[in-house]
Amino acid sequence: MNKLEQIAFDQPGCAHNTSGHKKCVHKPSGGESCAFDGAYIVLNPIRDTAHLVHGGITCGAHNYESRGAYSSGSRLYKYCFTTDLSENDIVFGAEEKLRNAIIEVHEKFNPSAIFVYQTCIPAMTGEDTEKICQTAAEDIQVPVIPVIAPGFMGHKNLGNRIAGETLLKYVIGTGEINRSLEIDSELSVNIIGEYNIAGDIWNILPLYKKIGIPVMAKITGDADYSEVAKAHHAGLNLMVCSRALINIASGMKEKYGIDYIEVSYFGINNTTHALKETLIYFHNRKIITDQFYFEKMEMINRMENEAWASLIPYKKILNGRKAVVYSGGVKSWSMITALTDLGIEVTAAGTKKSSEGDKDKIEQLIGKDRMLEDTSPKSLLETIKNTNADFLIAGSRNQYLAYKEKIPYLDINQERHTSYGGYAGSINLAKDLCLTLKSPVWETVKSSAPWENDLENIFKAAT
Amino acid sequence: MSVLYETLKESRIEAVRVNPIKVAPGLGAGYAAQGFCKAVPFYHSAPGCNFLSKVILTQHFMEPISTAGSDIKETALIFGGTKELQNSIQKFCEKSKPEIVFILSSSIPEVRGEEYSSLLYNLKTKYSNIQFIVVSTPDFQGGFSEGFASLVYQSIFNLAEGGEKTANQINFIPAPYMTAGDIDEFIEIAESFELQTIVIPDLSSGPDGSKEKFSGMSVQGTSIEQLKLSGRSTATFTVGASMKPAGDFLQDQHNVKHIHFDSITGLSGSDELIKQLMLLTEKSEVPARIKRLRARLKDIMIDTHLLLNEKNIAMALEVDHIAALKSLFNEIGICSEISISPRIDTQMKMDHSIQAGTLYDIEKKLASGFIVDAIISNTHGKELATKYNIPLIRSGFPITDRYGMNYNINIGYKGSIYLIRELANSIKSV
Repeated sequence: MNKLEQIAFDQPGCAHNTSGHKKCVHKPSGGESCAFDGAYIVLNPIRDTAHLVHGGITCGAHNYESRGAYSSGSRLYKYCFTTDLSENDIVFGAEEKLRNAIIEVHEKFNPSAIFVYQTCIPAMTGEDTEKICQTAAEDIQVPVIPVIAPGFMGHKNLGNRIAGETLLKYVIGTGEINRSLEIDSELSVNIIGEYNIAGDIWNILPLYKKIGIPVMAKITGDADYSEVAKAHHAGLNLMVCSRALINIASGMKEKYGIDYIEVSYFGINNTTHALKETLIYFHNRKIITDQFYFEKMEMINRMENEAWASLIPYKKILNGRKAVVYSGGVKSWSMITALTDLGIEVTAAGTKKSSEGDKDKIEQLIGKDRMLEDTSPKSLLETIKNTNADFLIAGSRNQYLAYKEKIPYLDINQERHTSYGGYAGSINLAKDLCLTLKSPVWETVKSSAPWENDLENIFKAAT
Repeated sequence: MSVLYETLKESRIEAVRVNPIKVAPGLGAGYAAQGFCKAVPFYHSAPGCNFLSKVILTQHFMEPISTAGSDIKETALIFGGTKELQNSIQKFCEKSKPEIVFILSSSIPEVRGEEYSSLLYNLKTKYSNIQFIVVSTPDFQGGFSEGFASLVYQSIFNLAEGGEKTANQINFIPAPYMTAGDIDEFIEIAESFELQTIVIPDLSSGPDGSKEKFSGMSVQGTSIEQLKLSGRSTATFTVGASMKPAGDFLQDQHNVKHIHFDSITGLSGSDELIKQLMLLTEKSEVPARIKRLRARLKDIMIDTHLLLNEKNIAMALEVDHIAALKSLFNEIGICSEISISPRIDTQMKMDHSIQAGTLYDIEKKLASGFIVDAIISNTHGKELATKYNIPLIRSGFPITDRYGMNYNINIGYKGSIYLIRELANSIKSV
């Protein structure tokens, strides 16, 4: 185990890290992506940087535009850069090729920084990617950041942690703010673990604007490199995808003394909770005045009430419905609360992709007997049937499982194109649930074909 | 600044690929595997290769897709992964009961130089009713087409059996770019000549949407029985240079006549297909349906000629696909000065207009003021087409943002009509 991996496993911020290491990283039994993919997902949304994948074509091409992280600025992060190693590169080594590639990317695209991902093949041939990045950075005077996450190292969750560790080591703390011009850093927050899937963060930022809390850095959804680099000036960290990037929060607490709170923006109650917790934190530390605090608390209540009011027509349709939920990370528990907000009963929740902390929260919400450890397609289908669930709410890999069995379904993971974050997102969620549930197709497809009917009677009636 | 940087600056060649349309050969092989009955691609790789292939195939077909993998970890990497591979294959076979397991050997075992003969021996003695076929698909050997072609070749190589010829039975080995719609169209044309077709791989009945219930594997597609019988067909029809070796193998080994086409798109390509079918069946009369389609194709060619002649269309596709489309374009006057393919086949080097490259090569041309009327590429062309406000016609693999693309037809008179219609309507501005 190398040093970085050791750090990633050995996570003091994780309450479940009881027996040595490896406990707190969620360890799946199979059917999950690799460490490289995990690291790439976390870092890729940093929009004005180039993401250079050093490896075979698989790693670069399979991740090319595969996730819907939106950007309001540079679109450079959408470009796929890869060294696409050939047989010669493997036999004779590809260190020089990588060095050339870094310089080429710099000269042609002028990114703010270059993330270089070391994948399986160069890790096997033993290339010193860190050294190459270091010398290249000196040459081009732009940060070149090695991300050592070859796929065989472990699963996606470990890759997330490696990305967090990389940000802590190379990026966060390197940027400075201009105190006279910029926001009040003591009062500002970082949002960590929110990737702006389908524009989620654009539903969250206006809420913070309204309550007068500036956002210093978004890590990493719709973020610029410079923004992440100065994240250490913020007053508080808001951890969204708590288990995946907890090492950033705990690392920043250790290094810069910034506290963190765990929040979620799925569902109205969760959103309100997140906003209020932020205010309470700053109020407790006397960073904001009593007047400011009460004014803004009142504003949150107003926004919440407005959201509830616009939900009424949807709640009429959704109240009393049943759903089976299968997701990972923060969504595995916060989606349950979001659905309860709408009056939907969660009859089962798949926990295969959830860490111990997420599982504890799920248990508190729906009880142990509704937690589903076996999330194979067969088991999911049986559960849906046995509990009379109206929908399956899961990641896109189970979409066609549901559709084949003619079960209404909603995608809540990274491939969706509608934002479900914040108050506005909660309304979108209700809207989409109604759209799938009330669609006439479910009835249409149940009708039998002419040749499936009682043919004898049809012929008799015709004569 | 290091001395190395200065010296390198002089002698640098292009080292980075930007926005490639190339995908891994493992993905091409996984795609082809979906066209076999009760078959599964088993990725001997790190977990990501398997997982992401499944994600992309699912998004492309919009169907539940089954893949499996050995999830190579650090220990297996150091001490060799064959034993773990055997365990995971066994576990999978016990649970899912497949009929064919395609073991796709990825970059890691290929770089290590893993050896499969003892593994295959063990597995074959344990499961006599399951076929195990190893396909070498490391990243450094080609892309989508190469992976597709080598899986098809290996399945025929391992399973085809010779014997007495069955009259009226032919094999069709489709090119990697062909859709369910294309295969349906071929089967229908062959049927009108009273020929029964064995399609290898049959992607028209595997992941085509006709599956009514969920199942872990494709329940239709080419069966083992059909693969065995393919050695007894009267002829094999192959399309595209990459599929040629499979047809040649059947001819050399089992004496099945090999009829190869570079393209069965466009008027002359479709004519050639019909001519070969007439020769094979010794029929001088063709069905009225085909005659009518040919007349319709000529008609739409004339109707659209003012719009399409001298239009410039950029293509970023696999090389066989470009060859097929070019044969149509030449007939109607469309220029395709920018034709980008992930890899140039030695046979295709004659045509100088096809270059090895990526979507970024098209972008560079556009940035330098080159005018293009439409782009044909996979979904990844979207960003580029939006940036320069050029119509994008999605074709090839993967297409993840449009529905029902698997029913498109590109071959024969009918496919050519559809292609011209789509081109003309995309280019027409008012």
